[in-house]
Amino acid sequence: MTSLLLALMLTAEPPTIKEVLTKYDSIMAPPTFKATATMTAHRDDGTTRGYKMTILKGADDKSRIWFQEPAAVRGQEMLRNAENFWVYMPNLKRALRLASRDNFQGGDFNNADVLRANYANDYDGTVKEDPTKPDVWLVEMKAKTPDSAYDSIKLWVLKSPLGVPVRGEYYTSSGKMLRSADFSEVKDFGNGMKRPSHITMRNEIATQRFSEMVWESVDTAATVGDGKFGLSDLGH
Amino acid sequence: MGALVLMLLCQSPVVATTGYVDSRTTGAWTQLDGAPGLTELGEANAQIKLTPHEKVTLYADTSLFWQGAWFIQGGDKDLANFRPSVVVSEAYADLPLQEHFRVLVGKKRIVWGSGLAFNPTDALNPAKDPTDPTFQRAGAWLGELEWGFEKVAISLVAAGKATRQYAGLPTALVVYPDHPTAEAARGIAVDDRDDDTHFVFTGRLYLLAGDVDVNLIYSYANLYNDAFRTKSKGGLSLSRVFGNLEVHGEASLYTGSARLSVNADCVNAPVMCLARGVPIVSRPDLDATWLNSQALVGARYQFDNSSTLAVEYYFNGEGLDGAGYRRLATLSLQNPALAQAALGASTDPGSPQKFTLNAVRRHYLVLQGSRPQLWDDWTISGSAIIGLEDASMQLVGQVQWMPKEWLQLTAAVYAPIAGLKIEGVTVGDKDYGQFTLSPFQTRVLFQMRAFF
Repeated sequence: MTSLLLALMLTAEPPTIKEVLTKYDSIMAPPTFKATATMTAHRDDGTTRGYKMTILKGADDKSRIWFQEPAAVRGQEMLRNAENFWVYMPNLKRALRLASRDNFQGGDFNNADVLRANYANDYDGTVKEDPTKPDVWLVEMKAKTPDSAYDSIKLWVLKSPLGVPVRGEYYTSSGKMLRSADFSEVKDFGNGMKRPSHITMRNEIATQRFSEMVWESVDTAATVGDGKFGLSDLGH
Repeated sequence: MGALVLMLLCQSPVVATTGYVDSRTTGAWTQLDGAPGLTELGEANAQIKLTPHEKVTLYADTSLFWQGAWFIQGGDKDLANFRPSVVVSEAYADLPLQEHFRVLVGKKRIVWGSGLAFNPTDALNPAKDPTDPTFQRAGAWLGELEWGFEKVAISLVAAGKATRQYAGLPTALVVYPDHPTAEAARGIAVDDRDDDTHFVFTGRLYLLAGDVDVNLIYSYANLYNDAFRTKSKGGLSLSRVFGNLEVHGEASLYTGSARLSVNADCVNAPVMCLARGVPIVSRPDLDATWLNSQALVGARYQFDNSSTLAVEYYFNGEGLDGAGYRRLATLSLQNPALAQAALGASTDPGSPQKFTLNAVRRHYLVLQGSRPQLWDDWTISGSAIIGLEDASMQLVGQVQWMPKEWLQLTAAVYAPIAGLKIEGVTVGDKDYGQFTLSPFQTRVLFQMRAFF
């Protein structure tokens, strides 16, 4: 039976890229949610830096982050509204504009990795088999605009359930790999939300460095008012 | 009011605290009397946020400063600027009464302009240190109404000048008390009172239009942060990101000028002028009707290795021409005490500043660069503020290391450069540019900050 299913999967036609990326977006970034997460940045010298944050995702490509730890960044906030990113700096008492490709808190994620997952909108490309991994689709993505976080991405997602990411590779326009990510520890967060809770992002330029993001809670039923996504709300 | 706050605090409020303990040791080569060669500025900062109710947040950002000064040039050994102090940078009640409407009352630093080193549209706050904008945390005593949406916000603010304050807390706002201070009554301090009201009303319309942050700002002030009476100013601020490049601009437009002009006849004989009752300084354009402006344009580029480079040009419509500047500089150097009395006391300076730039000329260029994660926790940065008329400049180099998540160590050098002799002044046998008028020459700073 198992071999029959495997054979069927191996011979199945790949889904369209729109189907795969829409599914990926719905798993990794549902329309609205409130989450808590920690990021641990592992540095060249073997030491680590830990960050604890609360993430609020609103409809229509909006998100906001409050940092609770460490003390040096407590009170910092980040806001994203479509292509626009800001960081509120408590010591400046004001918000500054950010680029989507800026490093997220000096770790190995960039701002868009955390604050934006709208691949269906941002990328086009192809879906095909990976001969070495029969249970996943290989999605080769090209950015639609130069403002996207990466110029091209290779994403491996499960065939079933469709869209659950396993690995990602992120490239510059010249084809140089900047980062790679491994998605693991699929967790049931409730309200039908099952997704990888552990993402390890490796810096492929400084190869001793990597960052881990662990999603501790994701509440898709939380009330998310749009008043939290205005620039004037930062710092309050 | 007190009972209401106590009642709210009894509601098991959510409490968030943060802060730091900081030590800044500065060694300096001095050039004027009253300047210390070695100073220690210790700061204990606490930021407390209480949320007793979903529609009430109480916030306070307070610093206790202990200061010491040694190797003081000249005879005066007790320097008022180096005494311990308390600075309440912010203390306010934030009331988000509806999802898109909030009322805020208290002391808060509200900045709408996009400039990094200067904010020409800022009508509210104490000036910041252009070489380290993070150091000035102090705001203004105000009330604010704000309607905020995703792409639109309207803010209305009324602020009053703290005309009397002790230990960082005001005892009088907007108008001076009808009695002098005890020190003034005994004749050991100047009675600085007047009969005027000192306030500003300001408002802004914020729009996120075509991925551009747009702020349209209007202010109406009377003897608030400058010498203007019943003065209206219009302002515009813009900011947008293009890939890794952020560009911004900010401008304030108004009539007349509050610039000080030194009476040419008094430059070399100020005591004679005082004796004859001739004013040493005046503000000849205070009520002028010609259009004036202060404006800034700048850009900040982030490289792939996270290094940043920022460039800003600042036009200061309040600046002096060459002759006016030389009169002011000569008076300040020859008679520092008299010049300070004639120029008048500044408004609330907020936090004790490492470097204050009294922009007396018209054209400035500011360069700032930083390279974070040079090694894991090492950052090097530098900045230069250049007076474009006289090529005088203030150079700052800084190395920062975070050996622990909670500990930050900084070493910095501040080097003023005199610039072009032809645009400067010569007193005695020494040439001075606008950045070498300070009591200090080169300074070296070592800072330790522990976060909690």
